[in-house]
Amino acid sequence: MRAYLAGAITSSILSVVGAFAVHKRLSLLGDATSHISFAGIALGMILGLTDNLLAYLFAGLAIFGMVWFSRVFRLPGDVALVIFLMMGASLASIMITLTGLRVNFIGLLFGNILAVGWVDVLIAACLLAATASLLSLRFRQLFLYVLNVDIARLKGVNVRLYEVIVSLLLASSIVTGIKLVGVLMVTALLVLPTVAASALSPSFRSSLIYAVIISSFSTLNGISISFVTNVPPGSATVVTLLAVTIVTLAHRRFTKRFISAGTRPASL
Amino acid sequence: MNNAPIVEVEDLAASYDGTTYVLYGLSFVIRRNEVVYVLGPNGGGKSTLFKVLIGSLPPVRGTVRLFGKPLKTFKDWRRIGYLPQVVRESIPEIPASVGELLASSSSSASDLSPEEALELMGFDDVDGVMKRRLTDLSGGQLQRVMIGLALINKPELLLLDEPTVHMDTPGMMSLMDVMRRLSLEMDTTIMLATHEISVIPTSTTRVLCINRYHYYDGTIGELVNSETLCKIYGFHTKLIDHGHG
Repeated sequence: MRAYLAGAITSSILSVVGAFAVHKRLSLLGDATSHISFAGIALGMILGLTDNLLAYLFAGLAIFGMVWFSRVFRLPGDVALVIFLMMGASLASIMITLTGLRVNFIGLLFGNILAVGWVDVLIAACLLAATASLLSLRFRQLFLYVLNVDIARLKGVNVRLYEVIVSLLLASSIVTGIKLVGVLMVTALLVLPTVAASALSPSFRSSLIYAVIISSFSTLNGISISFVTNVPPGSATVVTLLAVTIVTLAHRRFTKRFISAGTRPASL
Repeated sequence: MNNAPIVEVEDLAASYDGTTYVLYGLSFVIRRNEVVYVLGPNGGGKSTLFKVLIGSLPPVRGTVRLFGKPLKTFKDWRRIGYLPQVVRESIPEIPASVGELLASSSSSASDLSPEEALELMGFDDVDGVMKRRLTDLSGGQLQRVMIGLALINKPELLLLDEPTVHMDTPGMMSLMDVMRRLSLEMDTTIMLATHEISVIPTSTTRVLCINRYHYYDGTIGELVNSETLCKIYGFHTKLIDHGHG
């Protein structure tokens, strides 16, 4: 029960904030952030810290760092991501090699959703409530921010403020997600539901709803498969998500060809 | 004041990397209700000038005032409508509908409704267009929708960067008609950047011709009969007045 609840909440948050990451060309944000938090985990172990506080701090700083880096040096988002990904991986590798630490790589990659505590579920639920409230109250501003920052600013949107809000949402969602479902599944839940939903949706608002439905269904399906077959829940979820994404992309391609073949209004 | 200065630029220099100037020593004043064509070859600095005017690129040198206020302290950005160059590349492959896009910007009672903006841009099947995704529109249709977005807040200053790219003749005629109506009925000041001399309607139209360090401010008629155009474009031209606009 706890695993299903944690899965549904985490997948819902990640799929919604993932729309902002994907449309801002930051699809690999989960990967880059997790590598940086990996360095945080290694530093925490060297300092003798038992919790993963440094991992969360590093992840949060990394997201702000990547957004800042990309804006100040006028770099494409994916280039900034790769720079931070490499920085995190190499720092972690150096620290682990020099100190001879042992790290649970499987836990970091796949998480352990079957062993989450109620506190984790509560934190994730609070994050989901904050995300949903923000979207319902400030949808227009968030939509314009995703579309084009210059146009958004001219329409009265405080772009810097929304940059901070979206970065905070992404950082907290990714960090929560890494703890619950692992690095691999965080990246999958950030990117694939948005790709699948974008192929189906007639509007941005409906794409967010479709993304939540697709990611929740895939996660719950993955956990169920895991209970029955004993395969890792993260892997089963990712496979389900991939299947849904491929079907929706194929559907979009077919219907788009149909539209361009003759259903366009004559007046256009 | 009817002829109050809307855009005042003095000795402007702009650069993306801090070392190479894209614009240098540019000075001009544009007053309310003027329609000015910003002419110049590709890479001449037209889009850079617009980026400075919308506050996206801080000037390296010189002063810029909008509606009488220095650019640094200007906050009332809703008074400016802007169409970016290469519209398709300036917005992500986002699953947004035309209606959703326009509704996101029509937020006060004085704004045009999404339907009014589309009608103004010459769309017939407004209800049908409202439901279509931006990614499914042709280049010309998307251009017209984005111009509709630029003018939905009834801006006092409209900056259109290469608006005629991808447009067929009816689209261009519709745009010229809209610009004329905005100028006459709403006192809108319009700056239109283009690299095509052929879109400039009459010989008395004011043009601001720029190519990084060279610039000209006057009528297109005088420009083509001077050596300045040769300097800026690097070839000789002959003016044919086609009279629309």
